[in-house]
Amino acid sequence: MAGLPLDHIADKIKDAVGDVVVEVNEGDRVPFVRVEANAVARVARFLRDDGELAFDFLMYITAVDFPDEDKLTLVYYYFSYQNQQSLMVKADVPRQGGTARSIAHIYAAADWLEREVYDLFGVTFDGHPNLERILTPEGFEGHPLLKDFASEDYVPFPDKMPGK
Amino acid sequence: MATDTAIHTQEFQVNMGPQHPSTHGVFRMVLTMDGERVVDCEPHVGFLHRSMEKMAENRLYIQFLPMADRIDYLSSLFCSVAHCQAVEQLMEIEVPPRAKYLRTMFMELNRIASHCIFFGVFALDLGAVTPFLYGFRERELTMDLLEMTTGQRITFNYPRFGGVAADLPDSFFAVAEKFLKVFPGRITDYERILNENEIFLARTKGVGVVDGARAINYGWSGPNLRASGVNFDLRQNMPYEAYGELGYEAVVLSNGDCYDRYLVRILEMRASHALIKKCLEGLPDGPIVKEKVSKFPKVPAGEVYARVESPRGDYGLYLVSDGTNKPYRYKLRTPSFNNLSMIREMLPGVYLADVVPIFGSLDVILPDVDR
Amino acid sequence: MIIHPVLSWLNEWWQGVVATYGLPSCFVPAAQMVVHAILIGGFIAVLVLFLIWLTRKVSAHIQQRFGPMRVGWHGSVQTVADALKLMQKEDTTPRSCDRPVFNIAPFLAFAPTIVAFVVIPFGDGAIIRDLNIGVLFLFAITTINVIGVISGGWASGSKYSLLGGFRSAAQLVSYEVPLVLSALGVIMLAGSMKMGAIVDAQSRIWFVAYQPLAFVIYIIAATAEVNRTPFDIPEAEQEIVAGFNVEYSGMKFAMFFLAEFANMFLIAAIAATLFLGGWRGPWLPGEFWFLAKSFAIVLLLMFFRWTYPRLRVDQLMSFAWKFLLPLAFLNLIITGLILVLI
Repeated sequence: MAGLPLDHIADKIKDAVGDVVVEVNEGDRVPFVRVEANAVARVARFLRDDGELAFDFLMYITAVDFPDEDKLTLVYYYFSYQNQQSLMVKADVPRQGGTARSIAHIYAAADWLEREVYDLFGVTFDGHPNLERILTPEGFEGHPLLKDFASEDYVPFPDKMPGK
Repeated sequence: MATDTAIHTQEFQVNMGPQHPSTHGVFRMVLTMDGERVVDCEPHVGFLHRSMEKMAENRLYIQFLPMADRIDYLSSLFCSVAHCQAVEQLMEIEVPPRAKYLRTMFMELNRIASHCIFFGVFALDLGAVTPFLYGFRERELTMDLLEMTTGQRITFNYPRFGGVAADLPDSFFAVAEKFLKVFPGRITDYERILNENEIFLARTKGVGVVDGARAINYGWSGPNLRASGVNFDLRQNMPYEAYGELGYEAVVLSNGDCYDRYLVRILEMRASHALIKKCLEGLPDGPIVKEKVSKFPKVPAGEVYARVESPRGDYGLYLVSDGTNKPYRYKLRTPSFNNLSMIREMLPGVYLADVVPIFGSLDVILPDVDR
Repeated sequence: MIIHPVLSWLNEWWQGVVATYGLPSCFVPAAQMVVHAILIGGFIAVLVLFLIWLTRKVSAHIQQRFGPMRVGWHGSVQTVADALKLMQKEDTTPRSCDRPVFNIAPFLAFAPTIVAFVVIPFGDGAIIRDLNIGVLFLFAITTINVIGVISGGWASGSKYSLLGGFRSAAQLVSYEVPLVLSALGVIMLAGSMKMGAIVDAQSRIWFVAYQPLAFVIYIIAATAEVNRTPFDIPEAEQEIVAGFNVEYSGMKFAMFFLAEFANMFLIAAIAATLFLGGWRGPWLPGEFWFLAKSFAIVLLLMFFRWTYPRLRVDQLMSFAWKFLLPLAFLNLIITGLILVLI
């Protein structure tokens, strides 16, 4: 990947925000930095405001559900127009009652994206101006993208398929 | 003067959508109005939410391929190409050059089709009915070309893991030649009917201005971002498929108003036309699909982010695989979602009549927003 | 030249009948009125059917389509079929509406249009009442239909139609002023407000030659007056769905529709009379020339309709008050100066 080396970014985060980096993973295709969940907003602000990094573009926020490990991994994907480089920041939160600082005041795009994660995964974001469901209808119960989501209306896709 | 005898003005709420002719589908805005002026806007999305991501997690990779077309039905090829790219990257499949060229060419044709609709609908939003029909006329030509090869007119289901589904039929070249010949003239038609029309300029210039920094902060991408002066196009900056060989220069304008967002798309149609021409000229021979790729692959564990420049912007697919034949997590980064999120901030203070062109100039498509 | 002899023959025949059977003499004008009313009503009905078909065809050909092709020759009876369908439609009334006003509004909008046809000179002598205040009467009566529009918009109980009604009121009031001012130049030249006299005054040269600026102002203001694109703000589908008539259906909707198309013709007919020499023309009968000129203007309005986008409401207002109105005054002053000096 072009641009700044991941270790350098991780070091800069450590210098600026404190010892919040849990893991630095060059990975196969998507290098990422795993930080502590309570530091997500501080890391985001640093990434955006630092002159060298300038990760000004928040592409998406999402989560990945790992029921076996009882954790949800929040995924923040940033892009820097200045360096033409993207950076994935992950943070683990518990599956039930997971919470993180909202970054809606740092990236305006996060407003809807956090609502989406809240809607589909049930992660709450402290300090979000209007944390309501966005995609599912009003009065919907449950968070559909959790692996153990069950609804009366939900008919699982048949298992008997070619190639099985 | 006693206040209770004075005439009071009152703000009122207008519920625009989900059934409204110019919300381009099922978007709902609750507008608080002071006479003709918008005071506040509360957008509601999700009326078309089909939970595509959950569906993907419950289907084989090949089963979701035709579904991916339905994410953004006006530019469906981009969604399925991204799907294939993600799988190919995880499986480390190298796509044959001919397939790359074919994908590129049809993506550009699809982009023209999508921009044609934008042109027509945007003019219709401003009350001009005729350009709408013009836009559809040229879209028909691109649809014909796509239909000749893919057999479909809207949801093509054309790419496959490691290539594409079908090669060009022999009759294709003559029809494509004809299309390439007439299309620049048709774009000139478009420009002549709107670009210098005083009323059109009065309605779009300086309306809904967004500067580059604000656009980036809201996660805008694609033509909307380029209209605000940010020189970034995935085809130019991070080439994929055959774009690297073909070379592409992004169309960038600077004003960031409705007019520039319109003009970017008109100019991109010309650029796409040039790309298609280059594709046809440089079309390499060879197989159209990589041999020995399973149709029902077990994708190695890992994660990947596939990113394509769709007509609406930066379309991305974050795929987490756990080594089975179904995706573990299938996150769609749809450009319309982020492009639309600014509407709340753009609308207050404008006239009701400007709500429609501002919304229309973003060229969002609701299935792309709601997924 | 066609209508006048027919009418006078009918009149004489009826006078004969009244005299033969010794009926009271007040039957003569009464019957005349009935005949005139039927004539105007029939004319408007046929005219509107034709105009709708013409609109569809013109729009279709501008947009590279065929338009209606199935019912009759080139779809010529399509509008008749549509009218029949419209009559059978359920007449829905919204629950939140102001019922009496809602019911009467379409007629308030339509009636002035019929009345206005009274002073239109269709041909030599083919004018129902050549009032000595003809032009004034015309502009006064056509303005009344805004009451129908605004009360329809208000009574529907929908915010969209309310906005449409308000916009319509604002627009009509604004554009009425340059419209009348542009006609004043013609009246100054003709020295009369009588429609017949104005046509007579153009026996040598059409007033459009003396008053080109006024003609342009008139066409622009008239387009706005009948809510055609680019000034169709009161019924902007894209913003306020269909404006004041969004809640109407069936015959009540048809009334608004009739009024709109009849108004379009009326505006064109006034333009033909004031600026293009009315029914005057060589060889062919006056009725032909009158219709030909009127339809030329109607076609012009249709070309506007299918070519231009729509203005915004504030742009519309500032255009009327800051541009069109001063221009109309300028035209008036120049006309006056020339008349005084020559």
